[in-house]
Amino acid sequence: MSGADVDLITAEIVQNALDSFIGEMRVAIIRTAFGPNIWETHDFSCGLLAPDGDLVALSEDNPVHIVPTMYCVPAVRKRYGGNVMPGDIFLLNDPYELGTHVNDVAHIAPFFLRDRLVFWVVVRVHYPDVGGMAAGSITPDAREVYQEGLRIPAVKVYDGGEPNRSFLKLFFDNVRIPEERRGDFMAVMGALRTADVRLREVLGRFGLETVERVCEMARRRAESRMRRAIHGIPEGEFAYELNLDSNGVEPGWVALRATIIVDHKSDTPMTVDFSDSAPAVPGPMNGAPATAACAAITAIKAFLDPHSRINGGTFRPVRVVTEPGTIFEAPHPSAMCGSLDLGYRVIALVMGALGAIRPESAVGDYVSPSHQYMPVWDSVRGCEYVFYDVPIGGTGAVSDRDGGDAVAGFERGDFPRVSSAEIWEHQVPLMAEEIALRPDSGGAGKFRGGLAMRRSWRVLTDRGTVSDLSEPGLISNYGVLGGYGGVASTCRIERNGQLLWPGGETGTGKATRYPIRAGDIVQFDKWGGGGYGDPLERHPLQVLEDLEEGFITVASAEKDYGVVILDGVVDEAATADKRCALKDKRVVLAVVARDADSVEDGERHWVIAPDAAARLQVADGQVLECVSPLRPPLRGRTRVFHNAEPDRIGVGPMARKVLAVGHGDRVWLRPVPAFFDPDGR
Amino acid sequence: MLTFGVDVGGTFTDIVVFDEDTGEIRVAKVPSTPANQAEGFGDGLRALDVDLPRVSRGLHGTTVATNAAIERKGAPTMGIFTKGFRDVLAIGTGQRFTGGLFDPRFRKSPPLIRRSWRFEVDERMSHLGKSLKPPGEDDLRAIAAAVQEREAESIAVCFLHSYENDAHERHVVAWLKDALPDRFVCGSAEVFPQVREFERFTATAFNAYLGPVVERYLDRLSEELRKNGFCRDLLIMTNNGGVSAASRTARFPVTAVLSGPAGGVAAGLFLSEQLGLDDFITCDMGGTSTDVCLVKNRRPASAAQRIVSGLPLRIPQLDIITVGAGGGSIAWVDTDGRFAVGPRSAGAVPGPACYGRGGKEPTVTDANVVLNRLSPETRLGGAVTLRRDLAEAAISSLAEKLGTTDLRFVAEGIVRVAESNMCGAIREISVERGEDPRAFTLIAFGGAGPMHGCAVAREVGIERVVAPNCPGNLSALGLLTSDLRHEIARTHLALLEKADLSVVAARLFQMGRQAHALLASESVPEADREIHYSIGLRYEGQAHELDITVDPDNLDRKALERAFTGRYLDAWSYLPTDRSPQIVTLRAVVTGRTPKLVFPRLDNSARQLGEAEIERRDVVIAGTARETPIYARTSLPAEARFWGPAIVEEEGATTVVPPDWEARVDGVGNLIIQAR
Repeated sequence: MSGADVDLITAEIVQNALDSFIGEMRVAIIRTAFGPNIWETHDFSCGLLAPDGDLVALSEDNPVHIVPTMYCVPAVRKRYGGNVMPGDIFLLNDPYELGTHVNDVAHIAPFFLRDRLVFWVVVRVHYPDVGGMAAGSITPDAREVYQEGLRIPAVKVYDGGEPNRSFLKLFFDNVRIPEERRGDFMAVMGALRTADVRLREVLGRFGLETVERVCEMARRRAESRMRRAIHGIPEGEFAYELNLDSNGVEPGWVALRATIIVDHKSDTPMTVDFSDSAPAVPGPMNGAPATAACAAITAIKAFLDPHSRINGGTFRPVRVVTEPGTIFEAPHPSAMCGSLDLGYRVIALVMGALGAIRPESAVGDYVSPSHQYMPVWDSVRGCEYVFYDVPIGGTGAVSDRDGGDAVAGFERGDFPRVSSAEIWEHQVPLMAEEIALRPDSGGAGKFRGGLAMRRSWRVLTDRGTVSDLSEPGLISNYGVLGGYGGVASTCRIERNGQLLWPGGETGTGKATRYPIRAGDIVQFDKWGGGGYGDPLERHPLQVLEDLEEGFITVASAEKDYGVVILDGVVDEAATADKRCALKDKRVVLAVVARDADSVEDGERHWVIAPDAAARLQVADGQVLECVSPLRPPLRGRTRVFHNAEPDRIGVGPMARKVLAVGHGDRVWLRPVPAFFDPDGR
Repeated sequence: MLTFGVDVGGTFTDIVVFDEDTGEIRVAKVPSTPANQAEGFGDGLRALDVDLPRVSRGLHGTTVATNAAIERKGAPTMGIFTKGFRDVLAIGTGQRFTGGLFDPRFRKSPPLIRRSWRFEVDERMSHLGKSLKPPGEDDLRAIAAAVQEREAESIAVCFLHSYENDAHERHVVAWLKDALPDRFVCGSAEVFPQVREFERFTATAFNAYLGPVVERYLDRLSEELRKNGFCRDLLIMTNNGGVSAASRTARFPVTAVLSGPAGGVAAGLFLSEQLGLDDFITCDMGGTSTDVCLVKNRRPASAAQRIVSGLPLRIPQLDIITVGAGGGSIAWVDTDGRFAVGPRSAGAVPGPACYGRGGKEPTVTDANVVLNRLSPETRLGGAVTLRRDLAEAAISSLAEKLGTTDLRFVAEGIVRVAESNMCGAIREISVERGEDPRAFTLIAFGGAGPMHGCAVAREVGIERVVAPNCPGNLSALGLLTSDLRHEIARTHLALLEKADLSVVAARLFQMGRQAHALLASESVPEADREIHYSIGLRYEGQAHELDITVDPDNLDRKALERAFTGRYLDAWSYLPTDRSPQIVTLRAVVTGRTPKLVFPRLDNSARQLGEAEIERRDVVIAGTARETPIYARTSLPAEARFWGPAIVEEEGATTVVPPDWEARVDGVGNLIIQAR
């Protein structure tokens, strides 16, 4: 677009009008939709795109919806070329294009002014079900995309204003609770009609050219802001590595690796390269380039410049690199229903790498995905109803404050996440037993990670199953600058006084259509936030307060924080002694630079001598994390090797890059509990 | 007899006294006394030399509850919850409520009751209201001991499903009141008997937290007034635009959290009756912000919730939206070159640059001075002379950042952006709620409202604007015009086709009796009471209800369904198939009519419009400078008509009539401005 800029005053007024336009579209959908995921959890987004598909306006929204929106128009163009007419509406949920699960369906409407296509309006909605092998269309045991539900390439569902009834019948006949989905679909169609009228009003008032220029100015502004932020950090290469617990269908880590290259001279001064990540997996935890890009942009924005508007311009200074065949460019027909969940872990991965750039801005981990489904049979009404929750966990601590307890993190739109137990009891044969913050669930640190929540349900029917797709579901997430990770997300079932753990039984950390029966108590335990800094540096009075409030237990005060409390008062002398003793017991080893990282079947190993293993009280296979002062930890499995030098540890090039250490530097090794919370505390 | 109204604002306390016998209205402004609002209250009464024994009604708009909530200066409060649910208060819906997207350092506001003060009782009610486990005496004894040990002043009792059956909750509340007579105790079903535990518990926590503070304040104030001969119960402005006895407000202080802006809406209702308006939008633009509220069929829109101190407060309340656009709003350019007005305000100190009190940043008021709409001779509240040179200096510093020397262009820009922010608020309460603003009249008041009313109206398509009498004091006047008003709402979930309508009617009547009892306790004679019943319906599976007026004596399934589908179709232009309407909320709203203030009729038999003209000057309106007549409001004769451009000046406010709008003065002095 060319031409003179619009004056700033007009620009602000036009921007206000566009914001109102999007806001009204959102409200129209919320007020008329049938699925509680729309009116209750607002799992949808509305965007205005330029003719080429670049994002020009959106409301404060779910970041996981923002980036994929930009992949919509190219997908439509690929299939329909120039065959796009007024009154057309396209449907698209292809996970290989959009990078999230098939539930996220984009409704794409071209907007014409005097026969010229001048904008696109896109509404992406998470449909609770789009068919497939499992209620909810998200299932940890999917091995092919065919099992996940209907995959819709860009399809014209309205052709010049005429509905494609055959397609719509096919679609609704293949999803569960079709009348609710049809209601949601009609709500979106209604909102698109409203949008059309309102956008015409806006263009009528200001003129197309002015509006187009304002959109371009806003994108240029977002771009220059991002460029300035990138120029404000040092040049160099920064890397991090994070593992998925499993691919969903079988145990075993899946390594995710990101390298960030900052080069001020380049036209795209920041590159995020995911090429070193694991190959595509047989389970559902696969992604597309859009998955990687979405996560990278979300993390970068959060780290560098959280407070400005986001639009297409924000993305321009950043290049995201993925490699075909890897988990970030999974080939058809790889299962994709874990891609959104993978994306959340990628935000954590990139945040880890960014933390290396400016440690004082590092953030304890907490970007975890979690989906819970309980299809349960209601014998009174004679129908199946699906309990569905997308809850939240504790958030990560930062350099000057503890993490938040059970609250939506920075990477999520601010929509209701925890639905009312009273409402659910009216709808499903479940009875709420508890919703509580879990003590000791936040990662210990100078600043403590936020607490996790537990929600328990008593099952009142004999026909039902539970599925839980959470990552990590086996081991804790990470803390930064010496802080510990918070607890993992688990789903357990209390039956006849016994605690069953479906994710542990399979070793995948995920529950898949696990049968439940009347009297069971299903516990959904969510993740805690990662800590920041050494817990032995936490002020003893803060530890005392945590204890009084029930955020930690006495055991944790002593073991994790080295604080001794007697009759409600900190025993300062005993605390000082305890802290010295804990520090002395730490296992600190010297780095020996090796030519290659020790990786076997995709899992990193830390090779240590029997003496170190004894001091760490770990055996072969147990998880260790290697901590260098200013970096997030790097995890590996213990390999005890008799010829290994005591006091030394071999570190390969990738690990040295992540930890920013060289030969002779010292690193701190510590065990990561294989399952953080075995007692169901 | 006299009636007085005292409205406490952030900077000033407004007092209005109305003499019912002579029709005289007297007004005064004294500085507010934030540490103890009762002092400013007393100063105000003294300023007008109010003869308290002669007063039949005293009305009060107070920010005591609001301030205690926002500043977190409530009482040490303990909470008692169903076993397993004490953390509902902290976890809530998992929302942050006040921003935080992309910001890893953002933390949401902590709950009003800390965790170690949240206790649990092993009790349970089913969702159908069946008692599964009654609360045990032992739990209660332990809690009573803890209350004493910790010196808690207030206790919130919050049990699951108490909106369905509050027997357990009532028992515990009664037990505690008995055991601890000097503590403030309230139960969630008496504060807000509606489904959704987090919202109900939070409202209850607010109520308990504010209880002792508001109780103490009102007790002290009443005592003081009694000593001076005032023998009536003080009436307090509440969230729903009505007033309520001080004794009830002391028990339910959450009902007074929005006491401030509600007065403006009450004033709008008062005007609408005089003017015969049914549908209007009130737009109260002050120094720092603008409050807007939509009123349809003379019923103000109500909102589900509002964020107070970072927490959602969901109780019956007016749907008032506040935006940071006022006369003192500061215009600025951020580091990226984005031009914005507000939300920062110059406030009263230092105030806009043109006040000459040291303010350097350009404000909306400065822009109006540069555009010649405010003449330097205009005195705001009689105290300030506006300095054009200072306004120009402030605006030229902004013009420099924008790369221009055209002050008029920048000043117009400031005004346009501020107006566009106000339009956003109006769109939010109208278009986003399914109402078309073009069918409404805009009532523009507050110090800056009449200045911008017509421009805002034009932008949202409104064709009629009312600039009322005394626009600067209208909110305080609103107090004197308010009826006693109580709203009782209860959740009652049932499909319309299956609902036992006799049960619904019985519940409505029971709620009606409750409402009547409240008015009786406030000494409102039966003849002055009016009750309004309604049922909130939705399609099963949807979230949003539409409120349908009903007559409990003649509940008819078919008629209800027709009314509901009709309203639905109006609002959303389609009807879902395969869905049944569901009853969600029963509502009884009772109004106790009170004697009203009336504006005296203008005595103008001999006057001519020309006599009201003070001068003519070049004023910039709608992009062009034109020679414009300036009228003195106090001299305008009734039924005078004149076309814009015109400006009407009075103490405390200036009205702009743009070209193509015609103003008419009504019999009591309100300006009715119509687009042509």
